[in-house]
Amino acid sequence: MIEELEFRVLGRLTVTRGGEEVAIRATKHRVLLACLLVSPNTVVPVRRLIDRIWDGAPPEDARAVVHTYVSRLRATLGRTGLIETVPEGYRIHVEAQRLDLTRFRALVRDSAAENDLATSISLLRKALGEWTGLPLSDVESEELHRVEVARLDAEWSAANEKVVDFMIRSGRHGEVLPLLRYLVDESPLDERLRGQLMISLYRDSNQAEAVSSYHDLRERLGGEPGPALRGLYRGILRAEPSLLAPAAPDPETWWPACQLPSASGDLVGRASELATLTTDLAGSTALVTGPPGIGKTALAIHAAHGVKAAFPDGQLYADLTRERALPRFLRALGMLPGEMPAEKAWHSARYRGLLAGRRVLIVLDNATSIDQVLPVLPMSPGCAVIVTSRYELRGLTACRVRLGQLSTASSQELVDSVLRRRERSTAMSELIELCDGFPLALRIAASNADDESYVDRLRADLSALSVPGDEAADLPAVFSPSYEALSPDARHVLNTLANAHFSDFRAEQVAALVRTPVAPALDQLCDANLLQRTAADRFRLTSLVRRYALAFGR
Amino acid sequence: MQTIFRVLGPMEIARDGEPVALRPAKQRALLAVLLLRANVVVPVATLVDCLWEDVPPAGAKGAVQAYVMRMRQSIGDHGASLVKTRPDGYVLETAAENVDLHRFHILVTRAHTSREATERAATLREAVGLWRGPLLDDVGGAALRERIPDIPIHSEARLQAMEQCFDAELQLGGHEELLDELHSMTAEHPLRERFWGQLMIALYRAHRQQAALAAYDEVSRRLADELGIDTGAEIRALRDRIRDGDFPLAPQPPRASAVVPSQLPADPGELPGRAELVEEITELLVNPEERPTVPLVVLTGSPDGGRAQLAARIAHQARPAFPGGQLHATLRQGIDTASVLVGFLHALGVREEQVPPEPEERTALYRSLLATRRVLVMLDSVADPDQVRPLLPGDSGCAMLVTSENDLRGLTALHSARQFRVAPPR
Repeated sequence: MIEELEFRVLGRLTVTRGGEEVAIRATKHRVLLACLLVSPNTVVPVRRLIDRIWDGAPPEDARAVVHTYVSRLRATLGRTGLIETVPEGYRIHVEAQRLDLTRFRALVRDSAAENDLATSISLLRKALGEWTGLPLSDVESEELHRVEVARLDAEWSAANEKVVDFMIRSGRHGEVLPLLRYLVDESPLDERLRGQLMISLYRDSNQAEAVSSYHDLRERLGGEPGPALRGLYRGILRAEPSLLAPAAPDPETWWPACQLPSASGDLVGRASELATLTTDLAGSTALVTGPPGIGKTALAIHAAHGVKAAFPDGQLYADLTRERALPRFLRALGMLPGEMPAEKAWHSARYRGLLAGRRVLIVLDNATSIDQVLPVLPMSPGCAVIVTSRYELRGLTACRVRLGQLSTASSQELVDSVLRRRERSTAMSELIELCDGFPLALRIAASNADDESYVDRLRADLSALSVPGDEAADLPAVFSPSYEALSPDARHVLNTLANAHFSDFRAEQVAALVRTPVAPALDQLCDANLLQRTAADRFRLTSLVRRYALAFGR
Repeated sequence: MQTIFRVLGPMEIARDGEPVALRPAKQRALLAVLLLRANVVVPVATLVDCLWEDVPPAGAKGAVQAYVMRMRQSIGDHGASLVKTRPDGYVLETAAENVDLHRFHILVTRAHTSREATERAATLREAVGLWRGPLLDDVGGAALRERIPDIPIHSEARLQAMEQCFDAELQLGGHEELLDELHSMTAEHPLRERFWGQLMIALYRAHRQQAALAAYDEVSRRLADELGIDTGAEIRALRDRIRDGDFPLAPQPPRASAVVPSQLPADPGELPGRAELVEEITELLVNPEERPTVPLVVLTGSPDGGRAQLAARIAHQARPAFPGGQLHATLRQGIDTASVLVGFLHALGVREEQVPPEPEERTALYRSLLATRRVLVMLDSVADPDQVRPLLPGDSGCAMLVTSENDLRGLTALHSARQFRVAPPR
């Protein structure tokens, strides 16, 4: 039985039969064979063979010469049917197992189909093990090296990049460092590789080298690298813990809860309120109140992000209009569903037990009644609670922060920050005036302001304070629950005030207009922050609330 | 007949157990380079670069050939069976086990695959023990050593193997025995925090808490003085735990790392005419102004305007700054955000049975996980702002990139998003 031929191209070009090398000495025969092998089982056009063999300077009868070379090669390799002649060119038939290139590609393909990173990594390493040197290093053809070998090199780089990426992603940064150092040495300007080296070094507690590696690149470039690398460098300089390899979630200990939503952008004109809210917060409850759309949530979230470092055991957040806080907080503190007390009355006790001795910040957003808040108060000196409510929640012992309308200057600043430019014009001044110092109105109006007719629409119709298709950015929709919750008497009083265009008035002025008892209605409106009591018997109605009542009141 | 080479320290050659002397400097340097890259063809050009400073003499190639011939004779490689001539250079062919450097790398790789701490420690100890001094200690002067490729890479690999070896030995309770070695390693390599961290642990476990804290002060002073940087997050956390007496005295099994998700669509590569826009938006995502808000960028425009491609390109450009991973989902009208959240939670390592049933609770858990990582979240074909909000991370270390056919200015109003309209490139 004739033993099968084995071919290698990922290194020196070699042909072996039964472990014995089959020598192919003629330079041009080697180029020919290499050309066929880098496109195994594929037709290679004669024109390409000519290009590679003579490097662009072929003799006149090149086609015939190629044919002669093929015949000689067939004779040397001694197997019929190996190199097939087809009308357009030649094709070499090699079983996938008998050529390093096809084995390499098959392993790379298998690794891509694999879900498990560890398996992918070992397949890729096996694939890279097929490389024994620079591909076809002993085949003399500039064209072949310029085109085909360059392509093979790219495949090698891509496989290496994948190994590096997978290793880092599975926390094996230490193991991959020698390879990475080598790759960066080879391509010192490749920013992606450089980033991978920097993060691996940082995670391997070698911050010093991570920093100097960045400096090295900066020196080579003679300027700053791209934004991503700059960001990474900045994070490394600040020694950010979020750059470390994330630990696998541990079902035993659960995660520290960090549930705060993102802050909504710059907080404008609230410096003193922010200071009141964040000073001596530990061990206490703070309540932020004010009319709908005045920026209570924004202030609370902003404050919470500002002080969260003082509450390392976690930050809990719940929007009480959407959910009940207690069961969710219990689970976030590590209680499993099976351990949940059947009696709801015990939930609060368990919750306080879990918080004992811990430092946790709790944010309860949009409370509508004190009953929603009381069961979630922690009673631990290291914990703190921030509650927001459009109602006054009388009876709740808390440090109170009442939010009012923004000044014109602050309103302008907020609009500038949404627009990201300074714009001073009559239209802009009117837009700001129409928003009446309500941050939500200002934000919505500013994001609509590109439309020239917008101020006219806003003047005519309060519904213009909305973004089509977005319920959260819709001022009337945000006002509506407050209005709907009013008693019929209070609603009637509010409608009457609006129709009379009152803005600053005394109770007796109202009493002259309505027949129902006025005092309880006014109390309710003040409680809901739709009216403000400016003195014992003086009230103020903001123009936005008045416009709402005029447009939507019943 | 077997020739053994040692390069981890002064160069040594042994032929069938007998030492072989190789004195001429150029021949030693030549052999050194071939040994470092054993079994790989070293191009003549590389050899020329290594052997001559700055400008090689005329006929350098011929000289290399002569050195090779003499070197073969010196080491008794008469049939050129070790150092082989190739059309493009020379290669030293030998079993990896016959060169201590390659044996070192084999051992380190083997240690990585062993799960047993005892075996790991022993294998790494053996690997580290192969080093008798600095790599190729007596080959050439400093100038020549600088030109030999790979020397720094192998030297780093040695330090790293030592770090891993100490880790494994600390794991086995060997803190007392390691103290001397750790003291000398921190003295020799004062900027490598890992050695310092190991020294702190060893001191603390030897009931010398004050000395452990003093070691921290020392490394933090060194880093500040010499590089102007602070200590890394890991060693700082270690200091805090040692200070608070909160670090376990007995060795603990190491915490497994979570697999970092990498879900981005394929990188479309350079987009003609878009380079500046890509750079600008990458900058917004990676280096936002100092504020607590999560950077959020929305690309709107019709699908044929290439917004998806642009977003993919930007995400890949920004990728190095988000080593915590990249999440991606395509939303479209009617796709439930809560189910997208489940996918994201799984990708972050949450198991099926740990996924909370309620959408709000999923968001809360998602934000908790993202708070300790730097993750880029990319959402394609978003229909309305409400699909985005539950997926918006809470911590400003993360960033979000959204594409949509619709105008999502609600996100600008409430979340300070930056919106870009993408028109087809001219």
